[in-house]
Amino acid sequence: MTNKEFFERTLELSTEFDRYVLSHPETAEKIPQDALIVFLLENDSAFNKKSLEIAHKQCETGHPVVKVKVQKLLPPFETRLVNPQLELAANI
Amino acid sequence: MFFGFLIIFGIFSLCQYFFFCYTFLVKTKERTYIAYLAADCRRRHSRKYIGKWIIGFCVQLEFLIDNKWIPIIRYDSSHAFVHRDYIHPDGKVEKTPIIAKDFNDALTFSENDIKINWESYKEKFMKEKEKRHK
Repeated sequence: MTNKEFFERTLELSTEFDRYVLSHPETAEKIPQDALIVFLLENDSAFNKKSLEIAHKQCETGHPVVKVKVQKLLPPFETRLVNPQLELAANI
Repeated sequence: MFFGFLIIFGIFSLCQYFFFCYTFLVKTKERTYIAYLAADCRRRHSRKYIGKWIIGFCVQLEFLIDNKWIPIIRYDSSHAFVHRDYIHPDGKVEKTPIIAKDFNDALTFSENDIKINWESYKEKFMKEKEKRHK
């Protein structure tokens, strides 16, 4: 995994995590102040390795560490229509 | 009768004042957490809550420069409008309003903006920093 890939993936994950906390405010209660969030993705060992590497280096600064295990990151949706059927009609 | 009304109104106003102080000083909570985007770049997320309501937020992009974490870009909702701050090396802040109808919108904007422009923000900051030291 390149640095750029890791950067963009973590950026997406942190944004989505923020959205999750927004819709589930009780989650915020579980996060200590100034916590270091470490994202771990199921079935993505390359990302997890890099994420833990960075966390190990940074946790020396004394921040509490919270691991966020994510099962899957869905692609952003492009449409809300479900299975639209197109029919060419000469006359109505 | 008039003085009675004044006393009741005074007590009511005082109660309102104490309720306002309690709400904003006691019940307001702030949560901050950090996500590392690289070994030398991190994103700090802060939010202010009253109960379940978010009353303010701030997303800050920080870079590790000369062994110090320095904020360069900040997206926040203070000063009554959502905006982006570019923080110059001398501490001056350049504000750009963001058209965002809610927190979600602002979050999407910050994600896209960082994704596209983070390198140019850092480059600009470093150039300004070098100029300052000359």
